Amino acid sequence: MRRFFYIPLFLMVLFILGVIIALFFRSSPVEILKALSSRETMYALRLSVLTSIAALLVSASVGIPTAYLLARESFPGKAIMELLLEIPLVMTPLIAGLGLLLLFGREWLGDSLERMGITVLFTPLGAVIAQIFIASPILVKSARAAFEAVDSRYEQAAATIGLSPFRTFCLVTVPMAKRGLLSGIIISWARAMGEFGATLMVAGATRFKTATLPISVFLNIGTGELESALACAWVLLLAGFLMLFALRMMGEDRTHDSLAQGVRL
Amino acid sequence: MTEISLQRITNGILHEVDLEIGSGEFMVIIGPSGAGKTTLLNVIAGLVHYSGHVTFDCKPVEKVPTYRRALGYVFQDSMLFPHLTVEANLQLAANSTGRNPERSQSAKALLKLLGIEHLRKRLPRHLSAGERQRATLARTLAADPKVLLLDEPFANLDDRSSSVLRAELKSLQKRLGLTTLFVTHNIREAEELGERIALLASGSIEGTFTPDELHRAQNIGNLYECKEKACCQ
Repeated sequence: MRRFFYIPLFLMVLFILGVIIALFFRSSPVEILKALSSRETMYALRLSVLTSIAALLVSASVGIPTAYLLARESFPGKAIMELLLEIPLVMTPLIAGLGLLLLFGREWLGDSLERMGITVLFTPLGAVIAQIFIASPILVKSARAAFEAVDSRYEQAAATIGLSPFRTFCLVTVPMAKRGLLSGIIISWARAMGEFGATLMVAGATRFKTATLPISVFLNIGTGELESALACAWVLLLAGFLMLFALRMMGEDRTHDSLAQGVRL
Repeated sequence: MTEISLQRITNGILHEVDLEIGSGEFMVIIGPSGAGKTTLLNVIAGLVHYSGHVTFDCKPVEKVPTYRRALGYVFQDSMLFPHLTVEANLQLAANSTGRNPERSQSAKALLKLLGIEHLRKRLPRHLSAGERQRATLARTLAADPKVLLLDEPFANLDDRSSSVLRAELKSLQKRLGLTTLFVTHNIREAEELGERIALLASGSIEGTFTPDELHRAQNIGNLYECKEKACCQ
């Protein structure tokens, strides 16, 4: 029976290969490379890298302590909080963006932030916030699984040799959860780099201002500049391949676990 | 050296346990599986909740977190940190409260003392069970504890390794004058190691004995369940 299962496997592989071939062989490499070195693509690339790194830093500094707490402690309302933290995973990014648009609009937080000199909507900061909203729950889920995999008795053993809880966390727990944490960081970074729907709603689509790589693809398709769109797509694909390669390097089994934990609902 | 006192310790497993462990004394707790032996050690280490009072040198330690109790705890499984070499495990314990050159030196001496100097660059997964327990004991001592708690540390070892390590532990304990509480379900081990032996059954202390008294006692089998007695002699 198993050999029949090769048919759907080959169909899936062909489907994905078809998409990749279409992206890579639609235009000549010379045209793509020319578009790739254009100012617009370079701006989009720089903006994507900067916003996704900023989003990743915020997501990691908030998400890792959150994940540790969820992995180790029981407290009232934990189940509800867990559910809330998973909502962005099932929310359509466009709807998440609409929510952020309203939250940071004039009627809610917008006015107070404006008075402090902070403008979120239709700025690169809006792109960062959209990416944080989408990527941080993925990081929390992966990091939590990584912390849960560390036997808490190691932390007890650390306490019995005189290590404070903070030093135990830094010197024992985090190094032991390192691989899982790195997987989570890579997956959430990839998600932030590729974020489109929420970013479009919150940051808008303005060339040389808020156009990240995915938004650049969208804008260029809209204006019929296929080569520019494909150049951005190539960069995103290459980044994706590099991240997949990094995950593979960290151990195939772990990768599958983390990927599954990162996206499983 | 530290004197330990337990007064009316009660939680889900222990029932009104009173126990005094003298300064520098080697006390063994014996009892069948599920009697609450590990829980008793966890109470002293501050790793579980309980009601009652624990004092170290007449000072209550209820509000003292585990990492400030100046105790060493050898668990049944070695619990060496798997991402660190043997030496790094010891150095982490030696410098647990900040860099301490004197303790770092004594950590190196401990490797020699326990005959595992040649293993210092190895990761725990590359050690045998006996080597792991030696390294764990060395790491525990590297933190310079005043109280030593051991939870069936040799249970997973073969008879020969276990016997050698028992002798080394006894000699080290005497030399360092550590107040020691050793948990086992093995009567022979208890007789060999303990200056005093407390029998714990169903969460209560049923009596304390000298090794000779334990050897002569006729009712141990009843308290200890015949099956346990048979397998341990």
